[in-house]
Amino acid sequence: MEALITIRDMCKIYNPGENEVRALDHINLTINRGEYVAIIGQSGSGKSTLMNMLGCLDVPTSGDYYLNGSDVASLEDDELSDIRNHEIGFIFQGFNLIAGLTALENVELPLMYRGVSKTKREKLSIDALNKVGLGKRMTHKPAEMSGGQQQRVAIARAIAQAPPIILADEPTGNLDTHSTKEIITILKELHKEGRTVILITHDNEIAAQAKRVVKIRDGKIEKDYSNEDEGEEQ
Amino acid sequence: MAQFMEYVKMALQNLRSNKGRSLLTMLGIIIGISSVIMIISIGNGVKGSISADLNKMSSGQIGVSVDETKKKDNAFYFNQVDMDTIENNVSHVKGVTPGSNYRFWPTVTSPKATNQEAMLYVGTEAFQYAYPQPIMKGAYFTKEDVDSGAPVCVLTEMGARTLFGTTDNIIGMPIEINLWGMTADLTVVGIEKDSESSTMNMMTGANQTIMIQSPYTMMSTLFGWEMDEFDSFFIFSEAPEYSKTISTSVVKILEARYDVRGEGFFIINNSDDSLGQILDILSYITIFIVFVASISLLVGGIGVMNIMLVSVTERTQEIGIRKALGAKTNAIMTQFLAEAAMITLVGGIIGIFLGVLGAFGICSLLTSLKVLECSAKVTFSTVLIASVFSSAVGIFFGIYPAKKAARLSPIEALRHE
Repeated sequence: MEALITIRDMCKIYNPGENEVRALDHINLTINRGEYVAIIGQSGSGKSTLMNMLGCLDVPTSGDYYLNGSDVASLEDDELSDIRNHEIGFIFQGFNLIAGLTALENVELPLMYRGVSKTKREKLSIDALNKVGLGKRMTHKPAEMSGGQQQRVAIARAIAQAPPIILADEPTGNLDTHSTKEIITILKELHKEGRTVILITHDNEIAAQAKRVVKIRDGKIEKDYSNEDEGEEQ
Repeated sequence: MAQFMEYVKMALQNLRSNKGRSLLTMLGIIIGISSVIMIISIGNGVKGSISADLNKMSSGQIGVSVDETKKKDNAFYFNQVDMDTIENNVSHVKGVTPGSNYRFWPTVTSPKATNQEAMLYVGTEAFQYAYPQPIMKGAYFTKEDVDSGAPVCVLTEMGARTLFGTTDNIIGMPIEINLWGMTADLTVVGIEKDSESSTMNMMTGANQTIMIQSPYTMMSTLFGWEMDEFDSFFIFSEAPEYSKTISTSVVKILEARYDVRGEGFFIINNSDDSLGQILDILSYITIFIVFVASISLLVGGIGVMNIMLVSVTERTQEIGIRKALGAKTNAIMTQFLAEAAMITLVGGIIGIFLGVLGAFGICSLLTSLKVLECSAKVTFSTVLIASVFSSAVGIFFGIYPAKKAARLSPIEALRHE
């Protein structure tokens, strides 16, 4: 299989000096195209830092990061913005929709920053919203929707531009059981369609839905297994 | 460009969602721009009407006087011979009349009025050019009247109405003048039309009291006031363009007559120069007030900056989301700059509208109250400068908040709740 993400010897050190914190400590990780990976760990384990690195929201202190063939470890802010825009669809725990915009406008945002024309952008966004079952709520503002609906808008926003990677950071952290199920189902479908899904969570139950689980502890990869293997071990 | 329009649209949307706040922020800009426009337009209008009035009134007048500091022992005054010499020897001269402040305040008695206060101007027949108004009845007094010291006078239309109740059939009628306890009759020989110019009326006093014009020689024949020496006199040229050559010839003649060649004895006061000075002073006043008004614009601009800084803090998370989704530094910068520019542009447009309205309103109020005739002059350049300036204020004061927003790191901003 083709490697989509290759991380080699990645370190992230906060407060270098006496009180330094090694949030990531020589991480090596490869994720192939089409995989469904859950990254799990306790809070403080370094999984959020890893998520920031994977999502190109931050740059590592040392080490290499190849994303879709290009070296992104030492890029400037604006170049990182471009990479995020083209390669990654974000789904956040807090939905992170812009309150003043409608569902449709929120979904259009990444396409706008990519420079897609208004008509094309609208079409893609409407398709994405239909896909998550919100075709009838396009003109609603986030405050007029439930948490589950908001997260579905966020998913639509993540998939409208068809990025190779879906990066979901605790996507069900703020949701009730029913909405959680909905979201997990959608993520599974996206994976089935051939997208690479990376799910960051602290919840073992949700991680169990993924094909592969990477467990982080103290900035190191403690375990990296596929769920089928785990099943066999038990 | 298409992207830019998106940002403008976004900015407008955001302003709409914060209506009250946007409006209050705009208020500073509105007040600044409207006062600048108002002051410039009224200033131009007043300048225009004053210059038109003064031009009509005093264009081509040359005042001649003696430099007091150089007089010393060879003291002298001008006399009728000086004036005649100039009138007869210098070309393009319409007339000469003795100089400043030859006016008196007698009381007048007539069939309709008793001991009415009046203002009596005396001069030669050339005095008709000092405050030129068309003659509606009769004629102005003549050189012969001046030479003989004839007891005649010219009234204004309003003066005639006050004294006789009419302007009909009063040519040849006497009015009784009481000055310094002496009484004498003057025969009305002409009636001038009233001036519609408030500037002119302000200067002559013709709208306040009865204005009477007479030959200066009448003062000695009737009241024993010997007027044969003058500290100054006025020359009226046929057209303003002759003023220069007339001035030169006059100085030459006078210097020869008094044997003071090249000593700079005579002060020539060209009315067109004085008009220029008055207009210059008006311009300085306008510039000064505009400067004061621009301070309010500056304060308005700081208000915009303040509100934009608040907006950046409030919307830190939004900025983080946008950056995470792929917005570049420039995109965020443009968004916030567009917002600041929109506040000032919309404020500027409202300000221009109110300023123009205010200028016309105040001018027509001044005119209707007869304080001053002026019609507001709103020029395209005034409006253009004001709108460019207001947008520039917005962009200038928007730069700092916009930079602050654009520099936020996406993780920091996303973490912000």
